[in-house]
Amino acid sequence: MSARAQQLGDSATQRLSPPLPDDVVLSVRGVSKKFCRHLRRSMAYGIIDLSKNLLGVRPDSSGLRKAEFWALDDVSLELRRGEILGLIGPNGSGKTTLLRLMAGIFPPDKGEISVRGRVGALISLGAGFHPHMTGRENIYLNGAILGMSRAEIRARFDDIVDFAEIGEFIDAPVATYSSGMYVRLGFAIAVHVDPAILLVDEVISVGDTFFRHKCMRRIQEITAQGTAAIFVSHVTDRIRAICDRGMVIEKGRVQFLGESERAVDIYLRNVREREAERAAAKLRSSLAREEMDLSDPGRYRPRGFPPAHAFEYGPARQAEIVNVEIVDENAAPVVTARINDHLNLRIYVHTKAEVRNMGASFLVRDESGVDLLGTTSHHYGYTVERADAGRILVFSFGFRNLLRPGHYSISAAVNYLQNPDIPVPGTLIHQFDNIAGFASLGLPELDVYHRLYTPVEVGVNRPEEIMPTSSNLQRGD
Amino acid sequence: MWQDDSRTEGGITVYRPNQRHELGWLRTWAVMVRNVVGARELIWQLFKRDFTAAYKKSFIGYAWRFITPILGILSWVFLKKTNLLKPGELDIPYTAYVIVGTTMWALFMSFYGAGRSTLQAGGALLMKVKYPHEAILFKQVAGRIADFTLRLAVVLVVVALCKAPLRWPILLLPLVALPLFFLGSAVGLVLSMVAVVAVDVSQIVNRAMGLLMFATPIIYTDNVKSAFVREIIKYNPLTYLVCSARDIVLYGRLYEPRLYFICAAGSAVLFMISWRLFYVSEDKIIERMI
Repeated sequence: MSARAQQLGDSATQRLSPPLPDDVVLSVRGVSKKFCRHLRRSMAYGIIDLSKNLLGVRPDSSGLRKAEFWALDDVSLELRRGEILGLIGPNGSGKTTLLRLMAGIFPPDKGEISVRGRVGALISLGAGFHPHMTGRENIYLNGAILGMSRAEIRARFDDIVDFAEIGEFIDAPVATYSSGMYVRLGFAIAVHVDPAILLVDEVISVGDTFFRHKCMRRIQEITAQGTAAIFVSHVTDRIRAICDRGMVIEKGRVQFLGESERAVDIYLRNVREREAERAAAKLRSSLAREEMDLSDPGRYRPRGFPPAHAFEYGPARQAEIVNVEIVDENAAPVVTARINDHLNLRIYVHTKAEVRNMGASFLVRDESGVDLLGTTSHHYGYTVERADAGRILVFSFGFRNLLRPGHYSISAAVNYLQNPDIPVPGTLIHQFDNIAGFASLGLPELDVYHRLYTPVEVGVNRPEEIMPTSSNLQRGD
Repeated sequence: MWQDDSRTEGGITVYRPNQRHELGWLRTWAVMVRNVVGARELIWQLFKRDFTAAYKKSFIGYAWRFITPILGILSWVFLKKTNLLKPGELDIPYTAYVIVGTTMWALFMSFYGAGRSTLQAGGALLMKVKYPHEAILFKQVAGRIADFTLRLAVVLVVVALCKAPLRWPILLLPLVALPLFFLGSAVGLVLSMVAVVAVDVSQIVNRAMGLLMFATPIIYTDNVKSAFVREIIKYNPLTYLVCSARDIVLYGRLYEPRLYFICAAGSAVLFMISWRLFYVSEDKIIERMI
């Protein structure tokens, strides 16, 4: 650095913590950040701080005032060249705040952040794009906002356009772009800044699958060249697949920092534990209620069913689903499951009128909404020819968990057949999406990166040892 | 990428609580000037975006930049014709007097507006990207100066038509008008931060700034009959700053030079204070913009 900058920073130098080791590009030491819960009070504190600044009083930000809370509390981490760190935690745990602090957008209230070189923050793509300006003009604009000089932008212009796959649209106003093109252009500019550290805040989840893969590949390319990256994602597979380390953050505190596999496990366990706690609390409160009439269908409906996150469909005129639960072989509620664990899904149906040819079905979905497995009881011959009004029937579906680690949600439905000889389609009576869920934890001894874990028989043979295929034979003739 | 001189050493940038307070006043200004110079490409790009994008959807486009001042001038010509205005004694045509005066007033207000909207113009971008926010002020100012220049061109044509003489000291206008920038953006910058945390205060000041024009001898002269009004304009620093900018165009001289220089110096000091206050406070204000 120039002598001028040395001179400028001299008062700060003395207070500086130990210098960064050569291969460390980011160091966060004991960093805390506070926010205020109440809008008006927050404004009042702003006025007080501003007035103090006006009078030349240096504020002390290390304590909490009324209604303030630590959005980040004593966070420390180090990132080395080329390392990819995954940041996971529930909404509001402080992930984005941490990114903003590392990008220098917000100042810390306690602690210190040291950064070596440029920080590229993909907190939002296409920041500052003007809809009426062309893609070309916006590349120069966005590049300037990200701190690139005109010459730097010109040198990378073709790469950016190529990467974004914009083609001749480059001279059309970005308002005419599809949302995919818009995001592609934003991403293309952001990754061509050549940062030392790339901060990625869930932005890659937009755009189509091909482009997502391209983005991930590009990120892996630049990390292979020494750029470090921090990823924020709810999609745990992604963390597992590309991150060297994972950090679980809960209510602003670091709960775990280490191997990404473990970080994902801990995060999923947190998610399920929180839901299990909620379910247990519900159970306790329903047990506390006075003894109920055994014939009362309300007995089977747990308190708070259906939960707020469920989507309900259907008229539910003749029957309704009053409970859905996932239990293990000992009928204990399931929160997390290892691969090969046996799961039993129970759908409790209360008939309100006489129903003929009734059945139930279920679906298991992954985090991106893909239907992975499911069936209907009709397929297995379980069609209830006649069910009287006022009954409770429990449909159960047993299956083995062959799903790769992640969080899965359940849809449950009850239906009837117009014609009992044709098992599909049933006519919907009542359905809930996202009514229950569980986390698959995978297998400790085996990495599962594919959607489904299917036991595979593997062999190695000479060609004459295997049964010939017809095409082999034809070629041999 | 942006390197903040005050925080970066040997390629390592350090963020600490209340870090900007660690710098002395003189260094603050040095850093800010450097930030602005370093951000000239950004200022240019943002200016270009605002200037060209404003009328992109319009068919007559840039013509709007002339239509607005022309309409303003016509309204004064019309008012004069009604004989409603009794501006006091004048040795040049009133129309020339009032349109040059109001143009200078508008210049002051646009500097104020530029400062006033610094954080707001940054908008959502402030939360997403780190860049020197001083740049926004200068980009705003550049836009306002561009508008002013077009407006002045129209005004000068009208002044020439009114047969009021134009003299060479008009070339000094940029210098004479500099204190308007200092004062306007000083008040504006502070207000820009106040507007985030104290909406009411900024609204009140905003309204008051609009009324200030009537406390400045622009549409009337300083020999107006009312002694009360004469007293007010005497203590209004804008009287000397705005009227000097007007008089340098119309008469080729300053208005009350001694008082002008005092007010100009005061404005410059105020601007430096306001700039420093912006520098040490803006990051804590921005986090309240969520």
